[in-house]
Amino acid sequence: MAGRIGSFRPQTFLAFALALVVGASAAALVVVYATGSGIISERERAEALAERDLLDEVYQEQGLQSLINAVARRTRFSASGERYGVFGPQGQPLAGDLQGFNPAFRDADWRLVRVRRPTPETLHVVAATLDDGGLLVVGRDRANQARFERSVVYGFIAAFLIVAVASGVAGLALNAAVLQRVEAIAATAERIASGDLSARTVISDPEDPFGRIAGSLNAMLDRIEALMNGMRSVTDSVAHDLRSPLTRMKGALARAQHPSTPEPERSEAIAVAETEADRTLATLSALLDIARAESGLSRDVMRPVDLRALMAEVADVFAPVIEDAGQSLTLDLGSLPTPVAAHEALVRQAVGNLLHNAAQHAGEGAEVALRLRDLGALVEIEVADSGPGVPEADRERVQERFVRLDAARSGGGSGLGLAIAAACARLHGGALVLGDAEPGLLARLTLERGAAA
Amino acid sequence: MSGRILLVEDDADTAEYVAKGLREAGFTVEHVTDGRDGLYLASSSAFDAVVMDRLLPGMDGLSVVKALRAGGVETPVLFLSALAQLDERVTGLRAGGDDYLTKPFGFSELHARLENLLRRRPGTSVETVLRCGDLEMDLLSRKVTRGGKTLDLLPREFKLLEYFLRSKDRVVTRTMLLEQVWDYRFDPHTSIIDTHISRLRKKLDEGFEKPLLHTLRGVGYRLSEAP
Repeated sequence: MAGRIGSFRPQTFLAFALALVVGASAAALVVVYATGSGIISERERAEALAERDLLDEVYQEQGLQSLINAVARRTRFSASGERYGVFGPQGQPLAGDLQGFNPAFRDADWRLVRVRRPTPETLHVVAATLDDGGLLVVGRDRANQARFERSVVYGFIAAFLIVAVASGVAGLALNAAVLQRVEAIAATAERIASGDLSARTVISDPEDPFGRIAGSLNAMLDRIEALMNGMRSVTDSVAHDLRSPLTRMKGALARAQHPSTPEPERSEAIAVAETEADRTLATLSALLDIARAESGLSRDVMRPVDLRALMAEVADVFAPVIEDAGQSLTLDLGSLPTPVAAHEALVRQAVGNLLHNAAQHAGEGAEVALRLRDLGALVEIEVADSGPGVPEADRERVQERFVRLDAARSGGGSGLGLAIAAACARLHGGALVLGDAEPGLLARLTLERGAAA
Repeated sequence: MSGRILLVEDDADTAEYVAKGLREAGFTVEHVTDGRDGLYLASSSAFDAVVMDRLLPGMDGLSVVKALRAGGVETPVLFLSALAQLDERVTGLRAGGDDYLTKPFGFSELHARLENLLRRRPGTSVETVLRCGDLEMDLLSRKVTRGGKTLDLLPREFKLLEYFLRSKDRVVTRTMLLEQVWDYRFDPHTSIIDTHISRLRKKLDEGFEKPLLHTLRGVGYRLSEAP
């Protein structure tokens, strides 16, 4: 079943990155602004308080006129943003650039006050009440604050632009890289879908996730292509191999049907046709067995099997055939303590085919040996004969379907015997290897022991 | 031979061929085409054997037989199937089938197998001595004698003869021997069976006036006193 994967588009990713940048910058702005403006305000307040205390001291020690003079002097030389005012008991201005009295001046300690000077402005003020009920006011306008705010905003904008551009570029580059690989895989898949089974994805780095996807895709394709090619060659061989017995059958039936054919010959012809039909059916069954074994479908019927008993049984069936061929059969079954998970019928067929091959091809006087060996994880079944053997160059080929070496003996067999044995070995996770028994043919069938429950 | 056979087969041609043959051979045949009907009939009425197709409308043959066996119905079942692979035969027998015949088949093959199944009916007492004419097989001492003379048989020959004795007077086909004696897929190219039979025959009939093991050309063999 296909796993469900949420849909993913590059746009989603970009929008998310943008939101992240804006959010992070805004948070930074708020923190910097709150902290920064607090620090500035605190510093200006301390300065204003110090200045008020200084002027208050002048007033205490030297009187109102000295205060007025001092304030007037400061007003004249004040740096921008510093404001002063001295007011009489009725609020009449006596000195400084703060001309209009505001009741909020009284007892102010860093209070925000709007004044008209004559243009309206907002000031932070501290005040001290004079002995006669008058008022000394020291103020600071918000120019420093405003400058700070401006620089924070500019900083934010600059930072935002840099991050936005950088992350945009990075995101697009990443996207392009991802998309390129996905596109490459998709393109391969599309070529496959349109029938080109040889298409493969180029793997740049087998370790990264895309490399692994491409790798498994390629492996899958290799398997499919091998299966398709196998199927094609099987279909060709089947068509070819079934044609001959069917042709013979047709010929025999035509002979039987002919009115001039005498009776004994007629029944003979029908018997021939029947034999050919049997042969065709047997070939089809064998092909289906091979196909099922090779596709792994046969795994369903695997059960724990006592291979020793099975081998003894197969040898028992074939012993007379081998003896009739003027050969002798020896058994060496060793000891296999635990049962092996196996497809009993298929193993029986496979080993039977090997013995049958020996009986057919090893020749008179040959010694045939059936051996069973326990190799731990593997179990090995060997059929060796002392006949002429198979030339090394042909050993691979004879395991294919319908390959017969002695073409002259066309009635000898279906040409599927070794193919079944090989398919049986593969189903059991092993292999069929043909070698030299010095002299003769050594057929070694390995089976994986498996989890025999 | 008589008996009541239930034939569950949806293919009209096959069904007609089988039913006609069985009736001519003396059987009473009840024919249904649907798996469900087959299950109903087989479980509600007494049959001597069931001939069951694997691929059926309604309910497949495998499920029908599983259901029958689960319901305690022990009527012998012979599967008839176009699914010819080794795997399918194994699956069919594991599901509770007693024999498995692949299509296409000859009627003589079906007939021989069916008779063989009917013989295995429950109620047959456990025999320890099997006989055919002057041939006697003691299953306990594993001794075989003919006319009082001991026959020296190899274990495989003993096994083969035991099968023949249990099928006395009935036709045994070559595929039946391979499948049921040795569980080996029949391959018409091999002469395995002929070899085994000729060896057994040599020990059984050589030196005796009346042959017991007969060859029926194109069909198989029969162990019988009658020629």
